Amino acid sequence: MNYLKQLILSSTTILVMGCETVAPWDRDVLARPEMQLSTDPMGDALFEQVYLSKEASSGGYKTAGGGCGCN
Amino acid sequence: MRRFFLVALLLANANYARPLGVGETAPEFELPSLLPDTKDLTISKTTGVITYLDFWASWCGPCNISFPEMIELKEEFKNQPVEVIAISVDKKRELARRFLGRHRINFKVAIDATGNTAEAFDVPGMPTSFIIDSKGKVYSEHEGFRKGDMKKIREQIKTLLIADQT
Repeated sequence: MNYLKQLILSSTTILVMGCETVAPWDRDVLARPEMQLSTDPMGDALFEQVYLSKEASSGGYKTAGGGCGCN
Repeated sequence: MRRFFLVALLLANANYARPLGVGETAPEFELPSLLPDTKDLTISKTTGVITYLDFWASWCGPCNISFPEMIELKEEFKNQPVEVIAISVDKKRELARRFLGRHRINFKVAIDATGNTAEAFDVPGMPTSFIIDSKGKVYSEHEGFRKGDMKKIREQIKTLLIADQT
């Protein structure tokens, strides 16, 4: 059991150490539409347009910042 | 053992970059110009002019809003010791040039394809602009760009101009 716990902790540590923050000036590829998490960017744009029109506001739909680090 | 893993996790996620603070001397740079018939751009510690330095990219959405306002800013201060410099962080010159083709640029534009200058300024996002005073020190930093931001930037430049005159 103890061995299993150590194995999980070691694996997690190794995986986490592989995480890397992409510098804002290197986010050109991440900023591409095909790199967004959504599978339907056109549908999302339509939904956002309708949502913002109904709410008569903008900027409150989701959190700031896309792949490019833009606000 | 647990302590070791905690330290390892903290080290794995540690960000050692230190943001360029207000009042610090702006890093010097020399970059190739993106506009035809213009020399390479340099900024040194003793510029003697107030510099509005903007880091941008062709893939950055808000840059489409900031550029027309930067053109107006340059026009407004054209007879004052104010310099507007835009630095593209695009990896390909063609993409930056295509973006510039959509605007009537009246200020200096350089390219930092390696990202070294952006790193020296520790740019937190695209776009980010800095106002550098006539002594070469960072007066303010603006991350992102929204409509109305230029009003604040304009006021800061005017404050610096008044300070330089007195």
